[in-house]
Amino acid sequence: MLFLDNVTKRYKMRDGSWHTVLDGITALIRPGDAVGILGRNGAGKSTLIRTMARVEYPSSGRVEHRMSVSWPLGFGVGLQNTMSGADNVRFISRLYGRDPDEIMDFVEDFAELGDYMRMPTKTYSSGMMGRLQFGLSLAIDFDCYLIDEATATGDSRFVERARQMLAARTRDRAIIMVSHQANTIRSYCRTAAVLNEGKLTFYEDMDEAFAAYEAL
Amino acid sequence: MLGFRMQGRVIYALLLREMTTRFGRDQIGFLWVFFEPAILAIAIGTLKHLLDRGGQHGVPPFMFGVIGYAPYFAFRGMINQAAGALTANMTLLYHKQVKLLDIMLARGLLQSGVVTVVLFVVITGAVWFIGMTPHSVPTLVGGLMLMLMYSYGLAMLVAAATAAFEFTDRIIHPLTYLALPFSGAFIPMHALPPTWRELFLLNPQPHFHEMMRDGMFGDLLPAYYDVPYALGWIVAVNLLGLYALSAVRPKLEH
Repeated sequence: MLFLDNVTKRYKMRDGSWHTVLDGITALIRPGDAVGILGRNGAGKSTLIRTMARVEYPSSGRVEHRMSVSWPLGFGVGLQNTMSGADNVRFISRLYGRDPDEIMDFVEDFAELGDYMRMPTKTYSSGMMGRLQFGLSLAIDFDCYLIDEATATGDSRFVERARQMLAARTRDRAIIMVSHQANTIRSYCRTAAVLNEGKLTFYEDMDEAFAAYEAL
Repeated sequence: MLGFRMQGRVIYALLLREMTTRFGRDQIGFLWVFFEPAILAIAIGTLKHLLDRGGQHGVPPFMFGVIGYAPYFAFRGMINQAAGALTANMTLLYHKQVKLLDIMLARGLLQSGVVTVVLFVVITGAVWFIGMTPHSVPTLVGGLMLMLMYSYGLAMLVAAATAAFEFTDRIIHPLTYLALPFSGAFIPMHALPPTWRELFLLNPQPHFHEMMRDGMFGDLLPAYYDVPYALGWIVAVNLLGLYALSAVRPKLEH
């Protein structure tokens, strides 16, 4: 279970005024849920996912994790871009208390980066970065995956493999994905929510969510 | 207990990562980290030796230079590397088990390890060539440990300050140079007139350098230091540093 209890996030602006990005959001994500969160550019999607991951602190309210939650998977996030893919894999394996060799085998197999595993990750294309992040987080095996859209887009072969991997696991795991594209959400998620003006609205029916999002 | 094991794991992972990024993948890089301060310390020691023939009451100027310089190099390194350390490592905070304290501890431990090895190598070399053994190894090591703990506390403060206020990043580097004459790294307190000495000893840094010199030279050079006074400063800067880190954490935006 991942629980957001009346979470508010404000940023102080240059002129001293406050900008409210998340306005009293309450949400409960259970194992097996696959929720897509739709929001326009600047709606606060990334802030929401970082707050859910507990790497950014809410201004008020609380975030509770009762299952293991991945770091927010996004472009280059959580990786050291001057280190090679392989060094990043080793580092993150140790960080999460896993055997680096075991994780490496899985990532090499999943990400299909070949010799690029020994290149600094700053030389990676966004597709390669997505494969590395995805492979790494799948290898570490979290109960809940927090995914930023850029990671989940890639060529059709990758999207299909990632989808299958996740689908095979999500019986008892959860996915939370943020995107501004309805298509991406549709291919990974079963329910959807819309983030607008700091409020998060959940919809049981995906099409209903898409309609509400289009109407914004 | 689980928390401690987790933090241990995180610090271990950070330490290995810090070593690969700083040393590179080849063994030469690894050696270079030790050679750089060692070569500088030996150069300073040699300069001292050439300029200061005869020395003070039988204190070999070379040893005096090395004992002063190597620890100051560590102090300066720790402070300078702390500037901007948090913003540079922001990406690590995407893993929620990584605390700011872990980042600081991993860097501090690595830096401390490097300077300890350098001092050990240089002193062993000196014992070999000059035939001079440290007067009291525990005093020497104690002085070094106190200085490293003080540097670490200051480093936490600097890291937090540079993350909170951008301008501090620009002044830290020159400050570490300007602070050199007041650190007592190259001035024995015994050589100062008593009133000056008292003023100098308000700063905790000369206490550490005096203690290390006492450990090395013993009766050859009277030393002036007050361990409880130095410890008071160490506790103060470390508590302030811990507080500053926790205060700056919510302000860090990715």
